[in-house]
Amino acid sequence: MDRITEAVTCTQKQENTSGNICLCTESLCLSYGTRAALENVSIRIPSRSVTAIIGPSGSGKSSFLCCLNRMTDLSGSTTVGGSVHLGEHDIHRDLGKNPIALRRRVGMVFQLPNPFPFSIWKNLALPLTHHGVANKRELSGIIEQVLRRVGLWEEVGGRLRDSALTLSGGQQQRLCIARALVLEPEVLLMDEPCSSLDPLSTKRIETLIGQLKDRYTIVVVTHDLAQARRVADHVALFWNVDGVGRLIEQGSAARIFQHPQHELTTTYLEGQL
Amino acid sequence: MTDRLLTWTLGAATLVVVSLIAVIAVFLLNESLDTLNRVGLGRFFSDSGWSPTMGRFNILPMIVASVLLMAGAVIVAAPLAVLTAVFLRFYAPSPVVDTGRRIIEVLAAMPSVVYGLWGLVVLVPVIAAWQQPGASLMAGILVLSLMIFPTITIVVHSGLTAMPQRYIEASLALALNRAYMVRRVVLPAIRASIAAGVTLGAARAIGETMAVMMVTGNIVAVPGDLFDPVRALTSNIALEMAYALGDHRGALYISSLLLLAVVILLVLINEFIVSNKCEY
Repeated sequence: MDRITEAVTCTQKQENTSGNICLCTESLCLSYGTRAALENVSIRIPSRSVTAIIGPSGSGKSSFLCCLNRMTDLSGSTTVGGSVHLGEHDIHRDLGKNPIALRRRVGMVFQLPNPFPFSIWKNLALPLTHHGVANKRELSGIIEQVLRRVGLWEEVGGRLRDSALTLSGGQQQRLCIARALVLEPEVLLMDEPCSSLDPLSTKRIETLIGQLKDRYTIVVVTHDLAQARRVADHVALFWNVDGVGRLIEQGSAARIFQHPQHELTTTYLEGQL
Repeated sequence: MTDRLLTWTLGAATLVVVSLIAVIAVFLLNESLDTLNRVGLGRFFSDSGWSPTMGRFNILPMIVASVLLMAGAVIVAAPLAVLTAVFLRFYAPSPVVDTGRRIIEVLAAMPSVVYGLWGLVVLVPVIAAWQQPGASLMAGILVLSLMIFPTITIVVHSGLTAMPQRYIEASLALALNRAYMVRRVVLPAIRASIAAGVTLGAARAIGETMAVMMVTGNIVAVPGDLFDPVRALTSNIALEMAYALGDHRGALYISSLLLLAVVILLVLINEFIVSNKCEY
């Protein structure tokens, strides 16, 4: 992995944004083999708030999200350049060769709900037992806590031994959010978490996002501008420029939606209105 | 119109295959019945030995031998096959995967007589040097393991390949390491494939005739240990059918019927395991 390392930590890059910066990238580039997917993305993601990544298909939004917890390592041919900082740490240099420590701190929820084909209990217990929680009482406690946090406890608390696949799509997605929360991450990445759900389930997830931002830094990729308006405190617009994803504009949601500065942002927002 | 034609063609093809199986089962049953009525089922398990020309019909030692051969082969081959499939799917570099998979396919398709020949001229002398006489239950188990290993590996590997990528993504995003993911997520998720592979392997092991006949010594006796020679039910049929008459012939048909029953039982067990799994 060849990277242009820059010794700039997030805290030094706070100008223009209120609050602490949780995640920031500096000249982040990503390519799959010889094909560049992202170029020169420098973004600042404030902590304990919701940042929405918006933009048309193919603008590199999901690829960008995958850089933040190094899911990009999955395929052997990816090359990442530039740097990503989580707090004070460079996620490539400081958090070591193994991305496991990083992924404990940065959880992820996917576009399609992906519960394991096991019971609800086992879905939630699995990451905990792997990370050393063996005591049954402690497990139960954490499981109840996260299920309450995502509003599933009332619905499934009595049938934790049922297969997770018997849940509805919306419930499955909330279970996946709960599963991402059991390890108490600092950041929650969500890749179009509602795109496969019905409007009611979507609404529940959006409410949940609003509740979770008090405890977690949330980065949500969305196609849906209305959703970005509803949930986001900060917005970043990505655009496909000559086949490569680029960050066009970032800022507070109010500012972006009311006074977009870049021409592409204006076009994109108007096109959807 | 074409749709109806297709439906009929497919239906007819299915019917032919199903009725062939039924014809075979009825034929075996029919050929067995006379003997069963005359000799009685009990004597097949309680006679003083297997000398069908002298009216002694105890097939129990051969049933025991067949079951031991099958169980032994599955115990040896199944874990190796699962490990190999996991290695090929998650650990091996891609050139190794392609070559490995091809080699295993060739092994799965290799005629059993070739395995038997290798067992006879290589394996049996090696075992003999260790424990006489060499041709033994042990030799049979090892040759059968070698035969069913590729079968189980292919089925499990297909299960691993068909497993949705999203389980892997979910595991990695949850900061699980690869070994834990394989143990706690992947293997439980594909247990239906593992069951199918083991069933197929077990069925092949209990049905195998030639290779077993070549390496097990073919002495009709309940083995005292792994190094005793044994005769499998299948070998018995192949060895004696040519000259068997009357109830002797009937006893061999009953043996075949028994083998068919064991295979049906294996399939039912597999069905039971599969019906208890969670769908992807």
